Amino acid sequence: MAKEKSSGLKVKLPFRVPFFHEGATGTARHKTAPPALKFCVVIMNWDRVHLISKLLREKEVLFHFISKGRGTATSNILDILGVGAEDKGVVICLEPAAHALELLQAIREELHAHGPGAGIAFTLAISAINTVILRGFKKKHQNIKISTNEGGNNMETTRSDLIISIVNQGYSDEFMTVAREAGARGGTVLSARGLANKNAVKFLGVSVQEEKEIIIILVKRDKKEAIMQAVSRAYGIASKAEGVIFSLPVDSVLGLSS
Amino acid sequence: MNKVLLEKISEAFSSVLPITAIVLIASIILVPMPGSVILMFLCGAALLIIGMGFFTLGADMAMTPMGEGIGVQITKMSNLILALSISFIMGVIITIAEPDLMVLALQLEQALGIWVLIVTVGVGVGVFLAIAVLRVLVGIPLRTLLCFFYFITFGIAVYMFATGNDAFIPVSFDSGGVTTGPITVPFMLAMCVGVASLLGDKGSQEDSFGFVALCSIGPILAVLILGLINNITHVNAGELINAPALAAYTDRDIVLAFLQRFPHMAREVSTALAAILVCFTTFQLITRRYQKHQLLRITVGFIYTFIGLVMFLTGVNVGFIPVGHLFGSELASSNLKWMLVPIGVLIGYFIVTAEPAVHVLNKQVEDVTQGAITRKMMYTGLAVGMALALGITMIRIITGLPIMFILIPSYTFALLLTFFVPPIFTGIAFDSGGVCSGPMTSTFLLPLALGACAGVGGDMMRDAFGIVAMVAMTPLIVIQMMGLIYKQKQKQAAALKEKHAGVLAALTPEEIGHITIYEEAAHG
Repeated sequence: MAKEKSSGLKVKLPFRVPFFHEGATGTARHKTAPPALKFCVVIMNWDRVHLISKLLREKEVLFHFISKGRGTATSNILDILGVGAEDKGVVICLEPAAHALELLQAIREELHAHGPGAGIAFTLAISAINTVILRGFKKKHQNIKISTNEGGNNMETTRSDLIISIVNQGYSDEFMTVAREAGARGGTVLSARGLANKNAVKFLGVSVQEEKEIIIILVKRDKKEAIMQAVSRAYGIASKAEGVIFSLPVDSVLGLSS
Repeated sequence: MNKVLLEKISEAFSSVLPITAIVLIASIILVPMPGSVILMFLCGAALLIIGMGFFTLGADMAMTPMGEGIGVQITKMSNLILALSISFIMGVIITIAEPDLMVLALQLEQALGIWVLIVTVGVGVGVFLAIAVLRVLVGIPLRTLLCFFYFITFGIAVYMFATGNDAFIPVSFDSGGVTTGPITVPFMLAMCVGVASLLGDKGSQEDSFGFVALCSIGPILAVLILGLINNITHVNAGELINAPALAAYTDRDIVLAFLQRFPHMAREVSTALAAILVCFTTFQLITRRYQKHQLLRITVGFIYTFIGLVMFLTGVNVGFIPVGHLFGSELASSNLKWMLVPIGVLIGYFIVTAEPAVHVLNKQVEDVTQGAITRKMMYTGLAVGMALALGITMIRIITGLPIMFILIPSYTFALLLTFFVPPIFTGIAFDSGGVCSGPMTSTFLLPLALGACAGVGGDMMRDAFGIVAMVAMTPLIVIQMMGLIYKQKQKQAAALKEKHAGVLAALTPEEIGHITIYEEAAHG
């Protein structure tokens, strides 16, 4: 098996995500549409994570992975007083497009049954997948036709984007302040280590890695540009934060709070 | 209402209320106490709740980022000698500022100069902090060091036991738990995570624990060696509480008792916090790690920690010591002596959440393992450990069993376990020994044991002291046992995977590398 390419950044998560791998040989470009899979992301309060985990197991989702992140405060004062940010859990999984909506709605119901709590769920289109994994999904969903690209129509129709920013450790708070001023409602911060640097400092034969923070912000498409401009100006690659900022199109979004 | 605030308040309530309720109910049924003592106890419990809330919030905001930051910066220095010297100096400064060490020094005042002991213990912790940093950087397994140092420690202890100096042994083992107080523990825990976090290639999870574990050996060794050199045979048990006087307290006396204690506690806490503040400020000035926003938050967190600790320590010192002592002595001198054991177990089980550093450890464990080891698991494990410790201590008090008969087999067992459990559990277990033996132990459990001992008529020095050592010892075994169960579960999961392994092994490299590409999606 080909070794995993260093993707520049290694998120401090205890999992590897089987996506975006360009196979050197043996790629299949489907003339007919292959079963469409969606990359589902659910972000909610950390203390609710076990509920979602249980739900996903009940729904027999093939696999799901959990990472702990940090929410961002809604105001500076609250944050400085220490009552702003909560711990967030980020759960990711793959699910056939036809089921994704159903799954997200089940998640919403499950969370509502246990009292109010802010959270968000969204799906992203995947552009390629390891065929072996895909086969697993096919096998599991034999009875259900999953080759059609349906579903997601009942979700919020406004298009959204996921802004992903990778900044040096310690800048996420100020970063979010700027993003909020530009119209973002909230975000989630994950700790990460940079692996890209070939000349990484070595200490006793062990490479000392750069600390990074990954900030993910989900925004309505019309606000995206303003926010990205604002944060790029303040914490872009030219600043001390050395921020790398880009956005991904999000298929469908389901707010878990309302 | 703010959600985070609400969460903290409920956490504070749920950590202090159970133990309060149990003591209250037990006293009503078994040993009725004067109303004034109970009133003091309840006032103390109220202070504890407020203090606990502020402390855990402050530790999250200030102590953890500070410790982690310093740990990270030490690793980044890329200069081994500098890194080790800084760790050493920091260990010494933090320990010397620890108020509990002063209490210990006063107990040994007659035999030793106060400063001789304080400096020796400080150097002991400093050396071991440097060793702990070196261990993570070089990658020596924690268990190797633990086995080595505990072997030396027990060698000395056995020698003292054989030569008849055994009065000194319980205090030495207590000192390990005593010096790792509620200020040093969160800081050291975070520092360890900081040092380990940057060394990604070597399994930083496993190395994220173990600082407190090694640093608790320092004082034990230091005090044992001091005792050996100076041939100390007598230890001052400390002043005992005058219960009849307390019974006559009016409400004004009670308020005064608390008010008089506040300035004293404020001074102690500020000394200890100042030591950490000095270390942190130096680091911040040199490395400029934190930005303005974070610095503000750390400052606020620091103030929270201060308020929280002063409240907590005042509450526990004024309100809990008399009740603990009275409860122990009354129960032991009644004809319900055997009740000491079940009541001790019950108290032990519920007191663990009232130990402030426990919350910090459990959160850290959950963070580092990304929830694989949950907070709930940790609370249960530590509670069982605490319950065991209290049970054993009470049996010891009633029967007068020498402490070495329990410590040696238990530590041998704990060290043996290190070879069978996943390394991260060894780190957590030996850390939690220092974490559990915090202010609650020394202000409620120790007086309880002293009281019980007085009631039974046993030897205070030999039987009552050593409770801290027990509290520091049982988690080593219980948490590692938890590790064994965890390992078993992992094996089951691995067996499940093996079922798929056959299918996967049959695949050719082409098949495994085969990628399905979604054209439409790829082009938007």
